Amino acid sequence: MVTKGQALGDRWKDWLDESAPRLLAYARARCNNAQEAEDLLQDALIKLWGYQEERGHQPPDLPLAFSVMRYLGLDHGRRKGRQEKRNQKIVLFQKDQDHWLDPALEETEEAQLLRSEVELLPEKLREVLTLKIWGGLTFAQIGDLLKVSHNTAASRYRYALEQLQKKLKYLKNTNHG
Amino acid sequence: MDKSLKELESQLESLTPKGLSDEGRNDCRLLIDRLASEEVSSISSSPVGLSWLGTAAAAAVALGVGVGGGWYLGADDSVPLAAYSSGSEPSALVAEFEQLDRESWHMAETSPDVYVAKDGEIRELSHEVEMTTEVVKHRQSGVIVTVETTDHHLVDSVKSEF
Repeated sequence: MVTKGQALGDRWKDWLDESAPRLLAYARARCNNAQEAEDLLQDALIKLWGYQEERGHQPPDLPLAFSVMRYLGLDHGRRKGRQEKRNQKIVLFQKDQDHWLDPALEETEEAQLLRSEVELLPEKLREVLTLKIWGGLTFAQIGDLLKVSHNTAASRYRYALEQLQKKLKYLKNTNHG
Repeated sequence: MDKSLKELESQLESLTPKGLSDEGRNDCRLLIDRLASEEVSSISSSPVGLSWLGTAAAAAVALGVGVGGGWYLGADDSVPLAAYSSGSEPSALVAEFEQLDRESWHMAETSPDVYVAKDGEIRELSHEVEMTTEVVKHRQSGVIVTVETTDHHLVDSVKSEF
């Protein structure tokens, strides 16, 4: 016989299976390695469980989950020293090939470049890009989350795309002489 | 948005974010089971940190486990308290414990003492008390403990004009 607790746990597990890649991508945009990102996700689960108490502990919607991840990520970053993290991040990504976007088996050269360049975007741009592309949030939701207007969120997104486009063009030209 | 940016957007969408590692997924599922069985439901129901329901009891357990584990209280701010133990590798101990939450705040203990430095600069010396509350879980046993520490700091700074 399935207890109420087990049924609730199963709903959260289903929610996690569906949402984990999106949340983890966002966590990776804030942390400098996979382990820290997974720890952040676990911390968020505990917080979210508490927040959902008044809603019968139902699994949360994604904007709330991203909001909690962001709060925890900021706290985490403050503790560790964000500048230090940014400096280390580039080294770690390059050294360990610890990419947070899954390298497909038959990945094109352009996809490889893109994957690397996303990880090197400035934090503010990478955050919006991650929330829009892999988080599936609207600009209004991103604006609410980041405490900026939806126009600012949209501008950062566009600027991120333009930066990626410029970088890709440059790298492709360089690689092909 | 022009066509080339739209194409770039589609390319990005085709890059799949990595999922949880097997270990991470198992940890999350275990955590959910524990939450669902209300074993740790008292943790983190406050938007700004922990709801310290049962803190006293947890702290008592923490002291017992902490002393048994040889924790060094008053460690560096960036390192979990559980990372320190005499005779053990810190990294090995870190792996044994999972930090669930940590909150740290400062309190000024007394009014600062103002003095004039040799170069004529007006400075102040204050005593600060740093309170830290950390919730950690022992991965193997699943035991969750709360550790509270108090560190005293002597802070020498330029006196504020305001």
